[in-house]
Amino acid sequence: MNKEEFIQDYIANRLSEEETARAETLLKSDAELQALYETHQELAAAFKISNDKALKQRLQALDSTSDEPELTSNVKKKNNFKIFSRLAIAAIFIVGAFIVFNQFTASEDLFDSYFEVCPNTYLPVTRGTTNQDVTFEAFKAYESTNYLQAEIAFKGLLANEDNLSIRFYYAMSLLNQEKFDLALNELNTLTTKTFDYQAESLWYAALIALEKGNSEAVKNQLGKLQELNPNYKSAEVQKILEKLP
Amino acid sequence: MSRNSTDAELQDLLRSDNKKALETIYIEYKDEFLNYAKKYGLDVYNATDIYQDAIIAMHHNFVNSRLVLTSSSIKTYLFGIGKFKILKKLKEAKTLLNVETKEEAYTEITLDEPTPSERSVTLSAYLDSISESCRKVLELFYYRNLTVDEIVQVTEYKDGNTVRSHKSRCLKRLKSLFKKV
Repeated sequence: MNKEEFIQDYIANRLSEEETARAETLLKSDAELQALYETHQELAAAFKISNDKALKQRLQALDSTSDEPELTSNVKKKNNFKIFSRLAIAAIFIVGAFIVFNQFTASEDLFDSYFEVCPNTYLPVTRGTTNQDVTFEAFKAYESTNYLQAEIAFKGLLANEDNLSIRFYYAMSLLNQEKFDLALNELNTLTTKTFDYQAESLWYAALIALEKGNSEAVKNQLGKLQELNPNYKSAEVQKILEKLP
Repeated sequence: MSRNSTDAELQDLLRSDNKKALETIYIEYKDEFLNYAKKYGLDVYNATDIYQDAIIAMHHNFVNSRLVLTSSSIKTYLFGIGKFKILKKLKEAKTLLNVETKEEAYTEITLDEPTPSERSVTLSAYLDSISESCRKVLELFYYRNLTVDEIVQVTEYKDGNTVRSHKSRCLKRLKSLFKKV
């Protein structure tokens, strides 16, 4: 169990008496644990503030939908029309400005929404094996989320043999460290090649373009992906394309 | 959700953060609470405001602390919180009168309501600036205190490592927004 989950169990009263006592002792001496505890409590409080506010608005809206009388006067309707038309015009400008200024942020959010670490489906790694093969070690590092070690190992393998699948996982190791440009360089060499991970290469190249706010590149890569394999992440592809400007 | 759901079923729904169940309870007991608040001299506006805050506090305790009521009903618990909030408001306004009667059916439920830190207030504003999936995974872990395995069960993440990885990235993003202040 990692320290964050240990702190969560402590806060949620899921630890035994002994473990609780150990946590309290550690909290006095372990600076990292103290910081994790403070972060957890601050975030819990932040969510409470945000959720309480949203819930209050929801309850107020619930009351207003059941209590508010209907307006029947023509004058009121005319006035409302004027107000609504002005609000609509203002809204168009605000939304336009919002889209322009937040396009980059929105793209980053889309990236986070759809990014998932690509699992190792190339070389299954089984615990307890004694195989010391370099390829095995590279994937073992990848599965252990030790992406820097995986990057170095995959790079070593590529120096001896240009294996497209290995290059794909080299790119994934870079991507999982947020080395977006380096990962994209590798993926760009793969998206046109026919091999086992071509669809995946197009998908992750599109996600990197999303992260960088390059909508045209996203559309281009996803278009190629739809042509190559219409079933691969079809729902996600459709949603991203709908959200793009 | 049926209005005939048992108290235990409703409690399960509240613990799973089911907002529809909460709205049903809100509507179900609102008029009765407003009548109850009249005894304390509260007008409808203030009584409604307190009732909403009581509902929110009850919701928090079910979702965050996974409250299980064994010796009282949801209604009794809700009115107990409501009573605490009414008395608190009257004490603050220094208009508290002795209105306890023999028919008083609800025991005041005292809540610990610490003032949030400035950092938490600022962080709360940034929660709207991260993606929906980021907000969700952080909320499940830090607010609802679900374990990683429980998060896998209630979401579409394929395994615990994916949850940990996504949560870590999301926390990093939130902290980077916070640092820009």
